[in-house]
Amino acid sequence: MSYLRLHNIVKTFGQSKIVKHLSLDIEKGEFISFLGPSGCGKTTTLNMIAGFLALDEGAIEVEGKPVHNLPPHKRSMGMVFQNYALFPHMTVYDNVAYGLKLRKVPRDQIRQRVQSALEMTRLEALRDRFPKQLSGGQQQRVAISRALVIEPTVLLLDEPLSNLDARLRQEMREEISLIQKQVGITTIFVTHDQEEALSISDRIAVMNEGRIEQVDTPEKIYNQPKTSFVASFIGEVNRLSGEIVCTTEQECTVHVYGNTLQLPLPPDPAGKGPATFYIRPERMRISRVKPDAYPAVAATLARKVFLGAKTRYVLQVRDQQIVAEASDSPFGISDLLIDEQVYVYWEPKDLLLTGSGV
Amino acid sequence: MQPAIAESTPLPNRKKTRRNWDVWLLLLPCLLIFIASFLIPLLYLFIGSFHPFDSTSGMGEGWTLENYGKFLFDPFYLGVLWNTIRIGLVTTIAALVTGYPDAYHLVQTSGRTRNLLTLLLLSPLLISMVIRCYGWVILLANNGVINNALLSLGWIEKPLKLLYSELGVEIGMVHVLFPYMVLGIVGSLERIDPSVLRASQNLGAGPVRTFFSVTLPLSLPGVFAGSVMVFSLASSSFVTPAILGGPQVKVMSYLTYEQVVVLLNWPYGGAIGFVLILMTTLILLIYSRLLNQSKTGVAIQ
Repeated sequence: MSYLRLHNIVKTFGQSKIVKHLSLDIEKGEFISFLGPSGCGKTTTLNMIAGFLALDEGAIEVEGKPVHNLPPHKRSMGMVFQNYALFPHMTVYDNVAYGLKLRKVPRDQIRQRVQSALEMTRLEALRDRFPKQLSGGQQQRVAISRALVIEPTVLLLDEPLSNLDARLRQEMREEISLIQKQVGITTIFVTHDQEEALSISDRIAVMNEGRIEQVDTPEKIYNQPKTSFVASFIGEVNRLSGEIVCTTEQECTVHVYGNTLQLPLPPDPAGKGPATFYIRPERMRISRVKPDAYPAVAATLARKVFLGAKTRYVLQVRDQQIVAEASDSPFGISDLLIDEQVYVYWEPKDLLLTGSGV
Repeated sequence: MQPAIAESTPLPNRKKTRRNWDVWLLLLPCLLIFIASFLIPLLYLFIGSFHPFDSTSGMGEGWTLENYGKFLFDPFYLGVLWNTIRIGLVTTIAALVTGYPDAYHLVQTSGRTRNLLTLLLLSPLLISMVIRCYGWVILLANNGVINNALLSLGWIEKPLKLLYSELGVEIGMVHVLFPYMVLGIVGSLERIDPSVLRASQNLGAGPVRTFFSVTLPLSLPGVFAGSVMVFSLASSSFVTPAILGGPQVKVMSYLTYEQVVVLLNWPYGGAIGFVLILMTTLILLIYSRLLNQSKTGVAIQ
């Protein structure tokens, strides 16, 4: 049985449904990200788990026990807020000790546990400072210690990195991941930044318009997106329009730009007919001669952008642009010229077929 | 708060001095009025309070401490000083106790409701001081609305002495000074980040505990600002004690008025005025020290 269970959650604000029948099972010790554009309902869901918002329908269970009717202070969920929400009138030490004092933990134990929480986040030296005397990264670490010291059932992180500068963000990302592994706490991480989600999550729940589009490991989310939203939200994709034609139940082919490909698996019966396929820019290849072994389509090189580690090629294919990216010595050919006639091709396995919405 | 940073970067510092000039320029008109109509007369009065009284010219020649001595060794005058301070303190406490819940509620509202409530709150300030006081006379008099109502209900047997008593003065004073307290508290309650309150709940504090551990300490600067205004206005008020207190309730401002306008004893009037200023300042200093000690973080805030 799952540790934290969200069952058929519905939340409505006025006329608009923000969260629509959302269900998710989270295992103990798992690090799961809610990833989606702003307004997708991820923060609303987090606030419902923490107890700051009431559910309109559905249930939230921790170890089989429903918690959605408890007030926030009885849920024992540790939350790290986007702006850290440290108590400005308390020192670092008092901020971290706050939750323990409320739990009537004996004084020497409080001292001990606060001490080890501060050590874990490398804050011992700053224990007597006030929040305003700390940098953003330090405040962030206080917020994490404060949430973890009460040994919560679940750690909730609400876009904790969005207020930090780029370099610190990467550092804190690794630190959060490390601490999470060390403590082994079940963690929900809300973010709109796909790189963040991909780099630290065990699983990612991609959300859109109040629904979970796909829950999977980062690799699967990226390489096997189930919906067109996931394919286009995570990373960059080229869209190719084509058609799925099935002669029998088992034998289906894909027609795309004059190429006929065997499908590795028979598609969803609903997926027959005109369809959109996706290919990642880094899977697109370019050749001067038409490759026989691969599906290919004629193209004209429109632009070339050197980005350091890789080069970006923008190609005109019929009435649309296709992007290909490659590291140096691209595709074994050099000196591609603007307006040159070339072929773009790809391996059949790199063609992404999403389950619905094609 | 961060002197180290300010000192280590000379460029912003230079910019800062130039900006300071602009600030002074903007302050100049206000500053001139303040100096000409307040500081200079105050200084004049202060110097005058060390001159002896002269029945022909008002202010005599030579220097003396007699005016202050007369005040400090006379039980009647000391009693009036104590009355004034007591009225100030009672008014401040009453305004705080009634104003805090009001401010707390006002912060939760928004839009139209908020505007209407604010207007209602400020309404005592829209009416002339004298008219408002006579309104209270009608309510508080022996055969006034309140006493008549209580008598006809049979709750009391003879009228309560509300008018021409300290209580009457305090009631009238709370009525008019209450908005200053509420606005002061609203100002600091508004600055509390709502996620801090959520954090407190998230860590296990119920609403009551969150109020006393987080909301109240963070609103203390507003409590202080409101109390300073209410206390200094209450202890220096003249009209309200004169109308609602009558001849029995004497306060410092009335004594000053009596000396300066009726008896033309400017030196003694000045001395009484300065004793009041000194006492008020002293009490406010003690109060701010107490607040700072109770919650160290308020100073940081």
